[in-house]
Amino acid sequence: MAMPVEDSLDADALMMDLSFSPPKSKNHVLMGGPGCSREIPSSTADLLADLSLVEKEKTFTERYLSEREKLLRTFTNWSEYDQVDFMKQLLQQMCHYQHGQINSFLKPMLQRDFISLLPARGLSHLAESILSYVDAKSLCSCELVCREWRSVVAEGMLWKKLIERKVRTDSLWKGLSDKRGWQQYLFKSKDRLIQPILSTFAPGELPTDVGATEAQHRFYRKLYPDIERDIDTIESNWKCGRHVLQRINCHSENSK
Amino acid sequence: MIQLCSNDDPPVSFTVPRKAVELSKTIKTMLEDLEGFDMEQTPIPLPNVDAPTLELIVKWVEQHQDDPPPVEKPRVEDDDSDDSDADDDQEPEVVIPEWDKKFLPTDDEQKNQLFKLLNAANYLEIKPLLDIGCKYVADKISGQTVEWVRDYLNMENDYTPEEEAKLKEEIAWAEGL
Repeated sequence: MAMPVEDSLDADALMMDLSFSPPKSKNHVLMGGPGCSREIPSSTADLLADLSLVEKEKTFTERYLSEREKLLRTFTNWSEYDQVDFMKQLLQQMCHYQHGQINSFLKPMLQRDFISLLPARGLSHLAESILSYVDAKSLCSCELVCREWRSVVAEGMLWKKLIERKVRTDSLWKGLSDKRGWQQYLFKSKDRLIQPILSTFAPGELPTDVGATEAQHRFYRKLYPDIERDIDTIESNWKCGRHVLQRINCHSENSK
Repeated sequence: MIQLCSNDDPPVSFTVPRKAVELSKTIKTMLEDLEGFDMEQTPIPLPNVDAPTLELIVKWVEQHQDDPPPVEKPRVEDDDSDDSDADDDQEPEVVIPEWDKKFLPTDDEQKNQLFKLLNAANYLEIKPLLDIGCKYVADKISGQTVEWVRDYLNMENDYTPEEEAKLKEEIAWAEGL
């Protein structure tokens, strides 16, 4: 881990200083390891109360309270980088069920921060869920709404998802995807498709600043109207009688 | 019964059956983590939800508390999709039930209430509510002009005229759809 050596020494010294008993066990640190619940029976419950979203009457020991103050002061004087490292060290000292408690305390906190950053009345973070329901024409308009939405459409691979939805629900799309070979670009993960897709672009066709996601976005956005055109041609050929009937020898029951 | 508190000052509290409250994955997880505590006696503060929005949420979860739980992703039955790492989520078609159609704040002057409701459903992880809400908004913006969509969603055009012209050209084919 890249960090100044003095900081790690400081942190260690501090944790020793704050142990409840002689620092023979690594678990006896500030926030209470598994050993603490035996020696100080109330600490687990206190910890949980502290971690819950609810204010509860606290019964921390005097000693803990005074030491906590001291430690928090030291903590706030460190850089953010050092603080994160210190928390990592602390977390490593704790056991699995404590991690669970911290997780349940941390999760709503992260969600809260995430939400509070949003424009109060906006829906931009829900854009992907919303845009995954719209049709092709609307998807085009949505790309024009603003930069953010365009990047949602690109990052969310929404053109690919739209084509996949059509293939799942429309038998003509399904049949064509087999026959025309573009099925190979569907229903597979982004990472597996990036090479095949990049190879469909002629050398120099993509500007050099275009990343993998953007390249895939452009590929699917272009594929969509190609498929639509293909379907139009087939339908008009059929209607205008420009078709050739062929006899196919069938052996299977269900293809009669 | 579980008590939920809005973020207003003073907070407005709602008493909701535990079963209904558990439609929120966020709260369900929290209650499970706090197993052993008397959560009936401890109101749960919801720092992102105001009273009118919480009232809607409570109405919705009470209405839907007896819904069968959403089926865990059924394995794809199509024999041709053998890609185990396919990243498509096979969501079934979202249909907005009649009751929900009446429930959603759909008048244009209630637009902001609808957005607050969706934000709250997102924060509380109430997926079925989020799904129908997003579907509603998607239907609403479908077939509308770019300007209309921007105005409806309180968004600003941050493209330069050149970028906008270039993008319009790229998607010119959509005009014919």
